[in-house]
Amino acid sequence: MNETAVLESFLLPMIILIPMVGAFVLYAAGVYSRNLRNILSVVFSALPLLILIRFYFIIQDTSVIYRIEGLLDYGLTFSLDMLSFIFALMVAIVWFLTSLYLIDYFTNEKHQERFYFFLFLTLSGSLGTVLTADLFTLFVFFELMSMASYVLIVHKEDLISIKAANKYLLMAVFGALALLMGIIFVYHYTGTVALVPMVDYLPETGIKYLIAALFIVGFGIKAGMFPVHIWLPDAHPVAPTPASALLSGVMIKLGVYGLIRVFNIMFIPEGLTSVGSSFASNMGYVIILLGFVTMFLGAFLALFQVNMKKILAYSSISQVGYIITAVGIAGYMGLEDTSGLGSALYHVINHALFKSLLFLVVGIIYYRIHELNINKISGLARKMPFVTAVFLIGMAGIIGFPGFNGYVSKVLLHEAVVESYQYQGSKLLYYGEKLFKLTGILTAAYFMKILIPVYLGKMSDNVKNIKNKGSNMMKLSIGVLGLFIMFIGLFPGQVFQYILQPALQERVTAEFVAHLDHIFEMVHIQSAVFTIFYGFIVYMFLRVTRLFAVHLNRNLSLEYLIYRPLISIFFYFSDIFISIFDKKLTHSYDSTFHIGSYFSKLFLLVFDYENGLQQQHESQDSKIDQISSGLRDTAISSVEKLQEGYNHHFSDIHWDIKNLDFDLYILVLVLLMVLVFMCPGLYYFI
Amino acid sequence: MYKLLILLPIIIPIIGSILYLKCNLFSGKYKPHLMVGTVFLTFLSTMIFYPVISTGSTINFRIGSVLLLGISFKIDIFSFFMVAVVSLLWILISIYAVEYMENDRKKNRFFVFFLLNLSGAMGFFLSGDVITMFLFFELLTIFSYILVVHREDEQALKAGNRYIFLSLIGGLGFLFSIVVTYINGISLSFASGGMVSEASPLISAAFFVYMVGFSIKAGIFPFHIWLPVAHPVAPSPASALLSGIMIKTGAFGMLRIIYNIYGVNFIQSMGWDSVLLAIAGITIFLGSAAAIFEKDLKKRLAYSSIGQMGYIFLGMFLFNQSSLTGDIFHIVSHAVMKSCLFLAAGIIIYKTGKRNIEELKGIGHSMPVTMICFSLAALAMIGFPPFTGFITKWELSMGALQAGHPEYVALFLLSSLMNGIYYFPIIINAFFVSPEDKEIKEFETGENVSWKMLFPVSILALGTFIFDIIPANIPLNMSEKIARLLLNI
Repeated sequence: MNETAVLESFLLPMIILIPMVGAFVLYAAGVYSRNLRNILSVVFSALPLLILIRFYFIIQDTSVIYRIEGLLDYGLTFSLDMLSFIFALMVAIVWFLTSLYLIDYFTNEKHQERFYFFLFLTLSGSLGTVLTADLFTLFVFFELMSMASYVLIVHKEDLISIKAANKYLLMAVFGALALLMGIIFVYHYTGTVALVPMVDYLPETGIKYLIAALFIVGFGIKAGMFPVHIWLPDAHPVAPTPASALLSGVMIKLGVYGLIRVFNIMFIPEGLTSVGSSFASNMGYVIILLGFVTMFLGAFLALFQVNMKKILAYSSISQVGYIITAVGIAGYMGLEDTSGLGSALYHVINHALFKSLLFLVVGIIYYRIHELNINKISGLARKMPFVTAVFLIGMAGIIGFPGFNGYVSKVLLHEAVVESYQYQGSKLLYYGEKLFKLTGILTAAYFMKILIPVYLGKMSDNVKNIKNKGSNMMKLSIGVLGLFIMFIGLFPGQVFQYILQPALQERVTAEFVAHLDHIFEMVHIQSAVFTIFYGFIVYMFLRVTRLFAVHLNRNLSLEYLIYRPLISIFFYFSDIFISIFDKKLTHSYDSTFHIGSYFSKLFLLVFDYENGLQQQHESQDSKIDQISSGLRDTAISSVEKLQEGYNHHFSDIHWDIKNLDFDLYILVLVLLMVLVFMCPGLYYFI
Repeated sequence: MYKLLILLPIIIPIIGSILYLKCNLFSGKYKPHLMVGTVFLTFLSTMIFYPVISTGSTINFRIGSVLLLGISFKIDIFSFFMVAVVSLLWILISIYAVEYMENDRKKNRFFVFFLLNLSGAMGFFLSGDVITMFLFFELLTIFSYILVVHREDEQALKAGNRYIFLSLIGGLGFLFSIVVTYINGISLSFASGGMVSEASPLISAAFFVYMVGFSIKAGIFPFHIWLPVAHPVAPSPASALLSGIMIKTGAFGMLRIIYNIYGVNFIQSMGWDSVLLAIAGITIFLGSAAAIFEKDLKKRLAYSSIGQMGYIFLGMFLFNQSSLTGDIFHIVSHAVMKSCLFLAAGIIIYKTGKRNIEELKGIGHSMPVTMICFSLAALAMIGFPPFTGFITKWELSMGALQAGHPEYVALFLLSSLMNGIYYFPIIINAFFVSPEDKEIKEFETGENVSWKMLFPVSILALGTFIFDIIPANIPLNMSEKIARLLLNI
């Protein structure tokens, strides 16, 4: 970023303000007329895109900034540089295409106005998140986006979506608070929250690692990073499909954006000899490992799903794992990073394109057949040739078929992983590279799982009986996305030249350019084709052995093993806390009067015997007895109550070994690990 | 003469209440107008002092030979801010109460004491020394007791007993401390900075008893036990008063005692501030945790008040500008948010008679305005930007870090999470869960609530964020000035 030239422009906050105002306008318009609303929605999503494109030529050598003093105590600062631009452009393009798609999507659904209102609030929040110059403003819009997207997830209002949305909400609030705490710490120790390198000002204590952990959790939850990804596979599928496309295609990238800003810019020390470098690379290393786990886990779990949207949601986790790995590499290698950041950004763009395309394609299928289970649809290709072709483009993109966009970024990512291994020779990263390739194979396998039964084969009854007509708007939006994918795949240099190079500036390395130049070398193509071929073999193997039908025991999931028990324990202890500090306190307060009256009667007995005796006869049983028996009773009842509370809180926790089904998928996981780690000969194969 | 005007906010409601009781012009048709008009006049009479306050000066007014030592009144920016906000809220609540208490048998008694409470609160905030404060402290106890027991059923009387006895203990403790401070030669009038230089055991004890006395009013652990029973049994406008404003008198008194009588140096040299901070921490956690398990809507709100008072209690013992700004800002913003929540809950109870949260499924569709206001105030409580709760959280967290207590930052955020856990289900039930049984159909007849109830609630809901999204955040700037005044910097 060029520090010297700064342009102040009021148009910058307008990018955020237009959708926010648009939300209210659309709500009002929706009540009046749906057609008007649909047209307006396209307009309101196109305007930010147009303003952004207008800014493109300006920000080549300057950065645009606009500050509004006094808002929210601290003041809001917006800025636009090329890194922000990449994300903002991605948000705006996908949103625009989705609002085109949405024109025909809703027919008779309830709460459409509400959906549009929160859709545009989310757009405003998403754009705001990336167009900010400091963490404070970023947090404000991040929260707006998180909260507004809750309504998109809960839209259907059935039990499953409410459950999924609640899980999302709890985790989003938790993540936001972790993020806020990190920001507060950063502000306190450095005196600024601007998105500039600041690691040198942090104290040399453990607090630094705490801050890093808070940022990882805060942004990681949004990005769907392991081990806080658990909301994603529930929440993304339940939303209406266009919203899923946005959630999976766009919004999880905002978590990635935060990670890039914090770990690749703020935590990278300014000079090479700086003290912070070991810290940055340590945190980068942690993120790389988390990225590897996320990548593999998402792909592995996607294999066993039957719901198309669920497969895509798990696939999002896996793909975000790729990106996070690259972000980690950029942090790990610091200023010596060659292709980490570049490949991360490249994959961000690519994943936004193909994942929203795939979700929108699934949306069309759902729109026409009302079925998402891959076992209940077949032979779609003959009925919907265009949709099938577009799906194939998206799939070719995501599995990295040469000539499509995913191929480019995956090759770059692979080079980055290899370079990170060579950087300090960490053995774990060496195995990570194998895991990377394995994930590529699994990705191909689970897409075969969608492609082969759903599109090929004989037509099933529900496909034969499609009644409603397809929508041209829908076709248009997925077609445009498909064109983008092919364009990037065929001309990878263009994206680099016009988008990545201005963003990376001095961080563009000769190696990265060289990788791009040699992108279509035989080695890479061969490896990509082999990956897909092995994926096909894995698919056939799992299909023949019927391992796809394996039902994954949810009791073994992270949620049931760790999060739910933790929450229950928290509630259990707060229950105890209340019973001591609230209930018992009230009781002892109430019994104070009894004690008081007892003593006053005792006093009367001493000084005025006659009267006192009469008083005592009147109250037949001694008060002190009452109190002691009362205390005993409450003691017994409170023990019972605590036991009851224990049973109540722990009834749905699955820690008992007795019922622990040692499911096949754990076995498979272990076997795969053994294969990958123990047999060196296999490496050549992969 | 100008100084005499300081008595206006105290006298106007008293005159209003007498007129309300005795004047039956037009067969009492205009009684509600009289009541609201009185409150409005009170607000205007507080505004008289704005020119003086804006120049940064204060007014002291003393009446000798009353109550042996004489009583005195003082208006500085702190008391001005409080009386202005309190009387403004009182206007909104009184408009609401006119409709809410329309068909109540004892509405005359309610409104008379409603006005007397206003007088008491004005006197409390305007008091210039400890004795005057004590006078109005006791008056408020008695007056607000009437509001608590308004329903006169067993539950209300029981809650009222618990409230009045505890408050009496607090009042007696207050008196003890006044005596101790007086005989030790410490000035009883409020002066910025405080003047206690050396700590003798008796003076320290007096400080603690002061704190106990005000803790009972403010609902700080371990004296909070009257609050979750007394606030819910009162009629909703009274609940809003009690939770929104009355408990703030405790916080205001504490701030006066700490910063204007004893001084920061005394408390720091005593070395007990960490204990008080821990008590604040327990209060925060307790209020939030108890609210999670509570199924009754108003009780949940009452427990939430305890947690929020914990924030305020914590803020005053961190002794820096940031924390004190957040503290005073939260006194005001919590008053707005909690009044809004109680009034919205009141509309729901008024229309449907349902108090249990589980029974309120789908109510957002039938009462959209009420529930949107409720949701906004609830989001403010949780502390989302751009609501006021977020500013408080930010300022208090900064203060805690500057004071070297990062653990309280974690506690704030944990408490925010817990606030989310108990406020979100209400919102979600209201808007996103469809009612299962047919019973709920009865309130699908539409909102059908008079503007007298919706208007105050909407204004209060607007108040939870409007100042944050305009460039000049007036309450925050005022809080900052007050914090500087109290810290004498």
